[in-house]
This record gives sequence, structure tokens and C-alpha cells, in this order.
Amino acid sequence: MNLDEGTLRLTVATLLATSAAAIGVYLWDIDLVNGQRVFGAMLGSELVIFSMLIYVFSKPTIGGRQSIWLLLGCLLAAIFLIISIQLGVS
Amino acid sequence: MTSKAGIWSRRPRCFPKREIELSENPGRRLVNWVKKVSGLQTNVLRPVPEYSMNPFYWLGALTAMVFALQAFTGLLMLIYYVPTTDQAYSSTLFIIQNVPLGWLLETVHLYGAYAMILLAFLHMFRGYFISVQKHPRELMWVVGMVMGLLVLGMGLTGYLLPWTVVSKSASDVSIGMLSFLPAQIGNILTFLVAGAGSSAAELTRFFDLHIIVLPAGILSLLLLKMYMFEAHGPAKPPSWDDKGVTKGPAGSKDYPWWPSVYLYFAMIGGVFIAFLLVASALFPISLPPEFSPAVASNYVPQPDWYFLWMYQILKFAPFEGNGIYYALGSVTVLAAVITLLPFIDRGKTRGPWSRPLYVTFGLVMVAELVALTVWGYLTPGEIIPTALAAGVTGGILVGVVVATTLAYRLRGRKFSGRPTLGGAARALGLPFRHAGITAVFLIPLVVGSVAMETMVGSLSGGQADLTAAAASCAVLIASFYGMARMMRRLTLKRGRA
Repeated sequence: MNLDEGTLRLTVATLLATSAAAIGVYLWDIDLVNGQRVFGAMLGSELVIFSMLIYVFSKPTIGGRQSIWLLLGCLLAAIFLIISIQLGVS
Repeated sequence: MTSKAGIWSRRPRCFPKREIELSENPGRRLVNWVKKVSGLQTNVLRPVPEYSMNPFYWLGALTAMVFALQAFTGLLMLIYYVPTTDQAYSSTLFIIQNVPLGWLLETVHLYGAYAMILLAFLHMFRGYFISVQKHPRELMWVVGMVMGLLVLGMGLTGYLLPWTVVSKSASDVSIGMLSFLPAQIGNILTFLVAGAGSSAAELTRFFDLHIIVLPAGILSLLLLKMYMFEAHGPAKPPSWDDKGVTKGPAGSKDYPWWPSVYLYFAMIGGVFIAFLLVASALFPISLPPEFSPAVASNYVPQPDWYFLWMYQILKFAPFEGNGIYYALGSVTVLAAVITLLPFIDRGKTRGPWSRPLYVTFGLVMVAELVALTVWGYLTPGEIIPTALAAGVTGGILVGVVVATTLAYRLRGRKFSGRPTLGGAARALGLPFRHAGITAVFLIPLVVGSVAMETMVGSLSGGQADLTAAAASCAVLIASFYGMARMMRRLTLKRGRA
């Protein structure tokens, strides 16, 4: 399936915004006295997702080889999210 | 749709270029009116060239961002913190245990301080190695160095505030060092930073310095530096200056601050703060016991990591007792040399490969800093014998000088092909070609090492032999000079192989 640049950009941005919103809901629900480590790691993940949103909106093209930074950013956000989940269950 | 001009070359889609009439949108009308009456319609920040859209160009800005983060978290902690000897510890503990997000706030403030110091060091060393301090940025360098000292001062004063046994003991050692200064200066400085000797005065003075005096100094110098930065712009890549290039390749352009640069910095700043938050979550701080004379008597004072290198130097046997004068004097001279670097390094070239002497000096500094920091962390309170101290520091010096010389020589020989040991030896002319100069190079190395050990030894034991120390110092300087001349000769062999 070939997506044109605009559709691709909108799809990625929607995915990122949805995940940011979902994490935001969890952040709202966290106990701010006992769950501070979870909050910190999850906020870190949220910040990386916001940075990737800026990247998607600002970059002239998100296709091709340069999208490796987008991939790495999303991977980093996922790692931070996993850390926060691990801190929450431990 | 695609563009090869770079990441930020187009106007971002989230800010489509469209003209809005004044009558169309009341909000826009208000913004335009504010711009008009405040004079902000003229962009005060100059556009940024494409080559500076690189995170390494933003280390100073990241340091300033962390400074703002520190101010924000510090102000929030001030709501609960009480700067008195009987409540400082308990109020810190209250923030950590009871205040919503208080523990995260405290940890982020601590790690933010570490990040700020680390970024300041990285910013300085990057500038040192690519020689940003040359004309017309001499004063920017000096201001930056003073800001670095103030940042270290922030770390020192903030360390005491939780009033733990660790922080109080280390701060007492720092204040005690002031007594080794000439009496008049030492007394005045001790009074200024620690009051008349009571713990309450010491805490109050450190608190005032930490939240008012030093931040005000840093902020003022930051504004001055930003003003000069706007006047001169970012330093070009060193290879451009060395080759006389004034413009980037065709197609490269300058980017306006709004929105391109703001968004770019928001992106790298966001990722940086994310790392800070996750590090805080993964490695939580635990507050050491509260200070009391009884607890402190069983504790070996040790400073925070950014002063461990100096702490380790002060533990060298020759610098015990009156020897501390030489240690503090040497560190002061080193700091003065780095601060005045723009007026010492007067060469025209900026690239690291064309400044072997200064690059080697910088690499020796970095290696010694790292080694002394790790060593200081591993040997708290342990006095280091003269031979061991001279051996380790001299060994690092010799190792870095030899490695750097070989690196310059390899580059000068235009070494190419598959990197093998035999090939590298042939490219270096070892051991068959230029064996003479290579052997002669070892002489000042050995002489310099022996001179350093003699100098350190002659200062040891409280009975300093100043004549012997001065003579060894002269030999050491002569050896350095000899090595520098030989390095220059070796590195000037470029392209002759």
C-alpha cells in the first residue's frame, strides 16, 4: 500500500497523539504520593512522544531513510513506558 | 514534497502560512497590538544558520534550559523547605515522604544539578577543542568560564541545604580550605560564606547564596552572553574558518527562530528532560542521616562527584599540611589559564588537527579529571603516597601525550588501507623510519616524568624544599617545551609519506 506524504504524516501524528492522550489519562489517575516513580517515567515517555509529534509536523518529509530518528524516538518512548509499567507492578 | 535542504527547511505544517486580516480574528488583533506597542514585531533573535541545527551546537542552550528547570523545581520546594538547622532536614524529609510529587521534585532537582554541571563541562570542552574562543568571541569565553564557576558554586551551596551528615561534613571541609588563604582574605571570605562560625549562620548564608546571589549572577551573565551571541552569531565549523569559507553549500539557508528554532529546541529539550525524569524514576535518592556532631565523627567527609577530582588532589601526600597551598595554587593557575585561553592561544587556525599542543593539553585535562574523579570516589579519606600519585598522574600524562602524538602522526601520514598493526607501524615509520626522532621523543617524556615526581617529592612531608621544587619545575617545563616542539615537527610531516 502506497500512502502519499500527507496521509502518512497524518496517520503517524494521529497514532502519536492517541498514545499521548492515553498516557495522559493514566497520568491523571496515578497516586501522586505513592506512585511518583511511575509518574516520572510515564511523563518521560509522554515528553518523548510530544517531541516526536513536533518532529512529524516540522520535518519536510517523513518518508525514506531520515525517518530512522522517528523510529528511534518511538522506540525510546516505548522503552520509557515499559519502565514505568515495570515500576508500577514491582 | 521531498527536500534535500535539511530537516527544518520548510515551514512546519502546524503553522501554515496564511495572512489574517486584523478585523478577521479578535485574538490575532490583540496579539498584533501587543507586538506593536511592545516593539516585538521586530525579531530580536537572529536567524540560525543550517550548520548549527545540530544538538552539539545547543549544549549551552540546554544548560540554560536546565537552569530554568532548576529554578522552577527549586521554587516549588521553597514552599515547604525551612532553612534552619533544626528544620532543614525534617522539612526535606517531609517533601520527600508527604508532598505529592515531592520526591520526584527533589530527585529531578538533584539530577538536574548534575546534568547542568555535566552540560557546562561538555559545553566548555567542546568549545575548547574546536577553538570557539578566538576572535571575536574572547569575552564570551571569559564570561562562560565565570558562569561555569558560579554553577559549581551553586552545586556546592545547594549540597549543604538538606543538612545531612554527608553534606555538612563536605561543606565544612570546603569552608576549612578558606583558612589556608592569606589571613585577611581568608577571614573575609569565611565570614561571607559561613558567618561567625555557627551552624545556623552557615546554613543561612549558603541558602542565600544558593537561591539569590548565585542565580542572580548566573542570570545576569547569561543575558550578557546571549547579547554577545546575538551580536556575533554561532561560531562556524572550524574547517570553514581554516579554509576561508564564509557561506554554506548551495541550498543551505538560515532558519527563523519562530517557529523553526523554537520547535527544534523544544524537541531536543523535551527528550533531554524525559531522560532526566526516567533517570530520577529508576535511581531514586535516599536521604542520608541528619547531621549531628556524634554521627559526623564516624563519617569520612567526601564531596559530591563534581569536586571529587579536587578532593583527590588534596589527598595526595605532598599536599597534606602546608602543601595545600601548592594544590590550591595549581588549580587556580589552571583555571586562570583556561579562562584566559583566548589571549594565550593566538594561532589563526581553529581545527583540532591543526592545534596539536592545545588539543593534547585538553585531552590530558579530560583524562586526569576523569581518572581523579573515579579514584577519589574509590578511596574516600585515604592519603595517597607520593610515588603512587606521581606514577598515576604522570602515567596518564605520558599515555595521553604518546597516544595523541601517534594519532597526529597517523593522520599526517595519510594512513589508508586495511588497518593492521604492521600497516600502522609502517605508516608511523616505526621502527625503521624516523626511529631517531621517535627515540629522542622519549627522552623529554622520561625526563619530564622524573622531574614531576621529584617536584612532588620535594614538596612532601611538610618540609618543602622550594629550591629543588623550582628546579624540577623548570626541568618539567623544559621537557614540555621539548615535547611540544617535537610534536610540532612530527605533525608537520603531513603528506610526505
